[in-house]
Amino acid sequence: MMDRLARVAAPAATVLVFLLLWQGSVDAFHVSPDKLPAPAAILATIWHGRIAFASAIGTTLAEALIGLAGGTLIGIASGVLLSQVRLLERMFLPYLVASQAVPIIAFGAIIIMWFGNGISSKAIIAVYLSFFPVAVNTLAGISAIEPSEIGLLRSFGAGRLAILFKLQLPATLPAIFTAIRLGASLALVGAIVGEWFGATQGLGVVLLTAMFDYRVPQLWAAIVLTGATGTALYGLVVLLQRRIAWWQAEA
Amino acid sequence: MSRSARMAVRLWPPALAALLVLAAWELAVWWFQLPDFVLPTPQNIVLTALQDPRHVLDDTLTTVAEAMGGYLAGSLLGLALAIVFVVVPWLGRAAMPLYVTINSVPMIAYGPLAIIFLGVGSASKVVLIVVAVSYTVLTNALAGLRQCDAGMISLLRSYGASDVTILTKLRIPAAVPAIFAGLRVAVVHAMILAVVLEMLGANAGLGWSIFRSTQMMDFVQAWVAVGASVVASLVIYSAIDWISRRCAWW
Repeated sequence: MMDRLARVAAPAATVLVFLLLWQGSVDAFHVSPDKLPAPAAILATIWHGRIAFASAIGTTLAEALIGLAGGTLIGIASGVLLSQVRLLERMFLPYLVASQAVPIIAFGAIIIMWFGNGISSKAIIAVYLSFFPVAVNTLAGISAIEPSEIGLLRSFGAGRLAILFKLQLPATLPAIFTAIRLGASLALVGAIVGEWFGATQGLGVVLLTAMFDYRVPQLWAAIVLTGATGTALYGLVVLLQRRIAWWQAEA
Repeated sequence: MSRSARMAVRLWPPALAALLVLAAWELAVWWFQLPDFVLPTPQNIVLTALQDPRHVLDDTLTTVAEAMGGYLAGSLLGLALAIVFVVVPWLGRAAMPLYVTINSVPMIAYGPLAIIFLGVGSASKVVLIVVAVSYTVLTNALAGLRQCDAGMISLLRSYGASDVTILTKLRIPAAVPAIFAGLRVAVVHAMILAVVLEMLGANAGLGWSIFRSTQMMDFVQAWVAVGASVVASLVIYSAIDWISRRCAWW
């Protein structure tokens, strides 16, 4: 316990010292907030605009969460399907792998043109961004299971479905959750970038309008809140992992 | 089985998948009479790109130059920092929490800030790519440099090896696979960031072309730019992958 405290305390202290230095030099040299706002000024900006910021976070978080949930479900289903049908795996696995080396977020622009500027288009972008890593890891996890374990279950008379739900999926959960954590940050980025194409609500819109109006403190506030939203989303997935895959020691 | 025969066995299923998807695509457009602004045919996209190849090529070169410039500088920075942090551990302990904090925010959120201070040109993109790439390479290289076995270090030391010898003869060679894993992931980040940041504001590049075409509802042109960004990324990734296989043959 003390050990864990020390591991967190030292880096936190470093960041705190850095923030104090930042605050101190901005105050000492009277830097204009339009060049570099001090941490206190950024916090004040957040507090001042808390209602607008909260609703922006709500919109973006909803888009990312709906997308992440959809992408996870479709990803797991596709991974399972490919793992059961060898031909499908051989047909589509190369493309799943290649998708990880390509800016598939660029297709978001086309999604926006098809589905308009509402929440749904951003959620769809988040769906397909989180789909790919989940599908790849589900398939890889199921393929990595020892054939002897499957043979053992089969010798007890287990059918394909029983093997899938009793062995393959539970054993693959850690890999799936690794992918969902990656998918969570991708979903958030997808939602924000999607909002740059003419949305009226969300963190992406706040970032964009602050840029157009040259409101630097507002921009820093949005940056901090984007980081906080991403961290919260990530934390939510970790929490879920502890609930669902509780037997697995958390790293 | 000969090598080419094995290759053919491995390649026909993905080729069949591509053929089926392309056929379904062309068929859907033809059957439902979809206009270009709903879904242009693959044929139409390629023809449009070929009509004005200079245009697509210029945009591609701009984006690739930003991505690769930031990638090279960021990789060197990340490697240099990793070596410094291993040689001078207290510096690493002081700097890493800041690096982690900066990178806990999605890099694209800094985009507007970079554009305000560095303009809509390439500089704003390159700087953010350097930050993102150096972080990925740094964390991978640190993990690689630290993983090597304490027993081997004390063995070398017992032969009178200096810290520098241990670093160059043991730690760095042992870290090479991890470093290349970082370099492979980072090159994808670099391309994604270049394209996405151009969407935010630029005066050239594939991301900018995508953004402009969507604003003008020019669907075919948007598909051309998206397709070009996919092809360019695949080429660059394959090149890095090939180089890393050559260098880390063990």
